[in-house]
Amino acid sequence: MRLEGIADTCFLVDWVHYRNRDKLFELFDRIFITEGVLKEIGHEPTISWVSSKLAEGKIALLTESPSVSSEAYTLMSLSRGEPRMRDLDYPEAVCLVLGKMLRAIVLTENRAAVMAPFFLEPYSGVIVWRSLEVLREFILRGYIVLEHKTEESIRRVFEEYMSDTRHLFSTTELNSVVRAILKCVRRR
Amino acid sequence: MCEEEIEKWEIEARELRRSYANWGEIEKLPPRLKAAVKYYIETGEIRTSSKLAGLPLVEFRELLRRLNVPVVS
Repeated sequence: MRLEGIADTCFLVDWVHYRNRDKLFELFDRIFITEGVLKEIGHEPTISWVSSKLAEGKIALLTESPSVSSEAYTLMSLSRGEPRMRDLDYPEAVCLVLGKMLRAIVLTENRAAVMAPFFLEPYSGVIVWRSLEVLREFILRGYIVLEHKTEESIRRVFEEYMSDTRHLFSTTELNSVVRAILKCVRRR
Repeated sequence: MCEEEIEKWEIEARELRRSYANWGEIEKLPPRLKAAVKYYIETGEIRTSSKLAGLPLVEFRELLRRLNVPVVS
């Protein structure tokens, strides 16, 4: 199945430090970024990585049309009216709007963007993945091969990411993902 | 995702940011950067924090990395 994603700045600037960063382009056929994201990442080594992937056609650039921008402001307003949610910022709102339009998986670490499909009905069908879910998919789809089918081997994958990027996962969520992966890999 | 889960996650994320942070280095920062980093540690809101710091988002993320302040998700 063809998989496309749309990434925000926070996702890319951490991912660039990860030893297996290019596996992202094995999992996804193409990753979109907006012109706004491209402007934000004007920093080595992220810009080198992104520009090389643009040249290879693995990353595609999207221009924000006035209708996308307008929809993003509507979405921000919706998030402000939902007391259980953090407020969405414009760049993440644009990613969600485009994710919905293009049926692309939204790649972000932004908590408000993660919450949006749970609390904002028009976005309930949008899939949002953090690095936690991307790593889960790497293991489940065989892009990262586990040394052993053990909890320790699974945890090592996440620990490598956390160590490379200085990005931590919530213990509760990590434990839950590790348990789910273990259950799947032991069934195989 | 319920309110209780969200609150639990927020508390855990804040504790992780506080406990990993290199406070000695944070205290040596110029006042504006110090305030922005402390704001980030308490709230996790990177965009507002980078604006408080007067730094582009990516540079603020690198500052957090140098100060051992983790992003938690």
